[in-house]
Amino acid sequence: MTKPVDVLGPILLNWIAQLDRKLRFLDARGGAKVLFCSRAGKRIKEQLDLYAGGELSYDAEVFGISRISAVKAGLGYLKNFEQSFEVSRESFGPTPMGDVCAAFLKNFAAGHDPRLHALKALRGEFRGDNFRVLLAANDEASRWFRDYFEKSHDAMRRHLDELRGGRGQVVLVDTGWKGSIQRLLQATFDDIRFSGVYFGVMDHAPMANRYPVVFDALSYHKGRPETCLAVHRHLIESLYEPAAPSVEEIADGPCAETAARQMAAVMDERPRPDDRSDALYLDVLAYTEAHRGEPLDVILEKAHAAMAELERILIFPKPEEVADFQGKPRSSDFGREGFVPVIRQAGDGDTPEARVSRSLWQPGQIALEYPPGVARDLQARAVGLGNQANYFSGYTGEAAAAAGAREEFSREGSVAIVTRTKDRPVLLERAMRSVADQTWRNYHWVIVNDGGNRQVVEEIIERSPIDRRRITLVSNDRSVGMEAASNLGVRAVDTEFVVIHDDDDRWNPEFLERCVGFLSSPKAVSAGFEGVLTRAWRVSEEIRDGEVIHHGQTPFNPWVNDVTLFQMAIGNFFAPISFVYRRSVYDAIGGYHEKLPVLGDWRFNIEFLARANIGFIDEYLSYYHHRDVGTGASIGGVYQNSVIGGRSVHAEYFPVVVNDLIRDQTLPPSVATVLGQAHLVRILEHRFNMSDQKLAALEERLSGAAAPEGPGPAVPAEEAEPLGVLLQTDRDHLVGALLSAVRGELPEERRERLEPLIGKLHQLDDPGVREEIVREASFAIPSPADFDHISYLKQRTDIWATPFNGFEDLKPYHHYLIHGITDGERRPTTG
Amino acid sequence: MATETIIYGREEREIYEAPDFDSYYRSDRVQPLVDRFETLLARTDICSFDVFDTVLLRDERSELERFADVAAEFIRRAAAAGEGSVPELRTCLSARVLAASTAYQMSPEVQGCREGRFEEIVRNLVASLSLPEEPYLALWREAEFEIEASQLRGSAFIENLIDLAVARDKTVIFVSDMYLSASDIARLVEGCGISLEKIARIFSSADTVVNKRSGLVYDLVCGEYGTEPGRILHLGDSLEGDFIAAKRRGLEAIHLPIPKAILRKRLDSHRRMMDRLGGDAALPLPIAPPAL
Repeated sequence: MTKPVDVLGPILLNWIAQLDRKLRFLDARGGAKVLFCSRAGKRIKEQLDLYAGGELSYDAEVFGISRISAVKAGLGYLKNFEQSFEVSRESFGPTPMGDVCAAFLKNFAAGHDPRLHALKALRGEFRGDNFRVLLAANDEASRWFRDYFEKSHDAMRRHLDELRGGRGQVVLVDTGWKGSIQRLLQATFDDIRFSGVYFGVMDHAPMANRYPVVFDALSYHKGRPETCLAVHRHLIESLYEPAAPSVEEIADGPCAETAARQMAAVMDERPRPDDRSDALYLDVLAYTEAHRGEPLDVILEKAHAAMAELERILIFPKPEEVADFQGKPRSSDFGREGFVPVIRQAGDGDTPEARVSRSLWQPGQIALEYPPGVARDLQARAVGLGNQANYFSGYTGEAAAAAGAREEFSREGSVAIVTRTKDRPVLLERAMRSVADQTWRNYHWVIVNDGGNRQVVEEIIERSPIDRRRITLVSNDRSVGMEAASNLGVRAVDTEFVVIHDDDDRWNPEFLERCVGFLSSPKAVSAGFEGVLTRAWRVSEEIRDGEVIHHGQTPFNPWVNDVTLFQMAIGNFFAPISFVYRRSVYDAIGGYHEKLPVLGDWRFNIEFLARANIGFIDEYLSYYHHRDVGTGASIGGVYQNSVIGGRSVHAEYFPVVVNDLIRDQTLPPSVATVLGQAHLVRILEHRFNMSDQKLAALEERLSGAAAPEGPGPAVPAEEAEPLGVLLQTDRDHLVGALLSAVRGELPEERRERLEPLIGKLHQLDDPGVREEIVREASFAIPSPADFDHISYLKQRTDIWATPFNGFEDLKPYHHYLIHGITDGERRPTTG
Repeated sequence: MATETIIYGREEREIYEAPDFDSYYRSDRVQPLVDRFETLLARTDICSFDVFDTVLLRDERSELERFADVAAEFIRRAAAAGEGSVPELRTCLSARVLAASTAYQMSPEVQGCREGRFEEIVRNLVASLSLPEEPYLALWREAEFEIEASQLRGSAFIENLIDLAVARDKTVIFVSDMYLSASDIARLVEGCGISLEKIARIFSSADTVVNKRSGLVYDLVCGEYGTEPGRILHLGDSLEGDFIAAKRRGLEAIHLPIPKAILRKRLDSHRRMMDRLGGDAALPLPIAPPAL
């Protein structure tokens, strides 16, 4: 079995060597004071001193700091209230204000102090608004509390000034992850320039002058072995964490003695050889001393080889490797005490699944819970490799090299973007920007000028910031119609994929990258996906005086979650702008049917689904524009949509398409069967709609004068809430209901179900978490008084015969929380 | 009914498919490109050129091989100067690449742009090699200049375009995204036999920090000359920096791609170097291979 130091020794020596070079660079740029943030900074500096032979070429020392002390400095004089509150809220979670006050003051206040008791008695929730009020209040306890933060702020200022000795730049060194201390100090003391050099960074929010050395990723990415540490960052924290408490107070601040004692404990700590993690740290120090004289290329080479092995160990550990690589239990910080185990022990009543979900190193826990064959698949899933355990082959760099070597004009991954246009320069210019902004560059833009002014089109092309080698103009002196124009465009070039980008629609810049990535993935190939659809926004707009006026956007057909032939047979439910497909299927179909003036894309989609599958990307990456507001030329004329301006033509050609498809001998007979069933569904749907309308009319008559504005949901247009997101009113209702339930009398079984959910209340925006909470705790979530059940049931006839309309715990309101929000339903309210 | 198909980018495609620079630029096929240049030149006041792989053409060596040549020259000069032993070539080369990577990562941002500077790169690499600045800073600097100069040559075609622009009374400038300062670039341009008298000014991102890729240097140029973007014509080899970013900023632009055959040779050179540098395991130097 590999000895842990054989893997971690080279990696941590390389980190220290690179750290040294980066610190030299920053120092050379402008005279830096390098501060190693306690606690980890103590050991990092120890290793760096060893590497440099005790002669660092820059001014450096250990800095007694912690996130809570940086927060305290930020709260003084409310210099940095927002960030300080945010970091506190993340750390404390949902908790009463009094408990937060006690945690901040735990080193400062005597237990019997009446002011502490007054603050601890605050049982309201710890929120930004009430915390700010507390810090501004003028009662004795609040003034005392405020004074503590102001003294902390002043002490931090003095301490930083003393440490930096006139230098304008302070460089913080730490293990990293978010760089919260750097962010807090920079916002609190904005006259000092802070930089940070970290082992790793895991944060989606950008930050100036934050420099990761080993990895920068939120999660593990195959092909980037160093990101395996994102799966088990605690391994690094554990190695560098001294056996001493966090330095929560500030030197010469309101708790100077405590600060000095805490700092001394950190500086005087000695790694214990009998502790597995400390022993490994001592081995790393020995490795550093023995190999520090090696040339930097040799250090780099060995670290690279070791990283491949570490990747295997952290992602697919064997049971016997877990003890060596788990690290010591994680100590709590931010005013709290105690330890959290990395690996959960069996026998505490939990299931293996529960232990895995609570483990700080899930692949390690899985290795201990399941037999090897099962474990490998679960480990792969835990780190986001899907269920393809064999997918992992270890990093060789070959995949990245192959991707880098792909020619920029290769047919593989190339996309024909066909834009049909006719005398709509305002829209064509916007379509050009949409194409030019794509992050996927292997495309060919074919503009089909279908009988319009050619010169205007050429001027737009000349202005375009698009590689000219990727542009072709097909110009017809007379219009040939939409489908014939599509065929001219598709056939003008040879590419692997095709997409129709009409001149009035738009994409998100990542649209093509995501679609091509999906279609090229092994998953798509094995599932037979030859096309892919994304979600789309339906944009309402008008053209006025040559300008596009935006009137808002809503999810387009938000109920779509997959693409089946049956659903397509009922009617077309997506726009061409959202659909990328393989040219080979287009060739097999023979292109778009040119005799159809409308509905050509519907027929094409049915023929496509008769031959191949269409995958679905659950992201809003396209914009389907409608000029459905305004009058005159805005709706009709050259700027009309075919689906708005030509509705009657659609109705006329509907039976033509259906009959042609049923008669088409080249299609499998099952297509005709599906079309027949779809016809029945349309009849039923029509009948239901008629019944709904009659029912609504009846209700309106019954409610009479009491409801003069009708029974529909009362949502004034000017006060319309955003769709697709949990509203604040529902968030408050959910949080309030659950907290009140858990504080009240409950049967034990219900309490056990409820308590684990409290810690997840901050994740209510995640639909999966929200569903879990609502389903588990539906008994504790009453419907709010203003939620209009009747209107909601009218909107969602699909839940009439389900438990959501029954007499048990589940109610229409719960359906709205679980499904309605993500489906884009408007929240109906009474009154 | 008549349908006409117009394929854009014919000249760019011909350059890209040519076996080398000269076989296109010295052929008759270059005339449509000159015509386009003259058409656009007539609409503009300032004619701007990229420097590396436009005014000064690099050979078929990759950047990695060039740095290896520099490292070898540095070691030779150190030995000749009797300065004792210096690390091996692979170590010196690694230090050069890592120092550049550090400089690009850690240099202060200006409007979202970062740029490494040659002086800082050399200082950091010498420190990484645990060598004293005196005399090794100067030894590396001179070695790198000598190798750069020996692997560059002036483009006769571009010189003709410069002459054409000067004859039309246009202001000619150079704009480069490069770690070398404007004065260092001027030294290399002159070393390749191109007179600086025709050139009003050289903008280098090593000095301005804002660069072509972000488009911000074009704003800077417009500001300095008090001119509208549409009155500037820019030419260069980088699709992103010299063409797309310039067009987004409203400039007229011509893209002069590097022939694919040359890029392929540079890619081969890069791979050969990486193979040679790898021992039992690959040496993961942070330097991108040339993109085809």
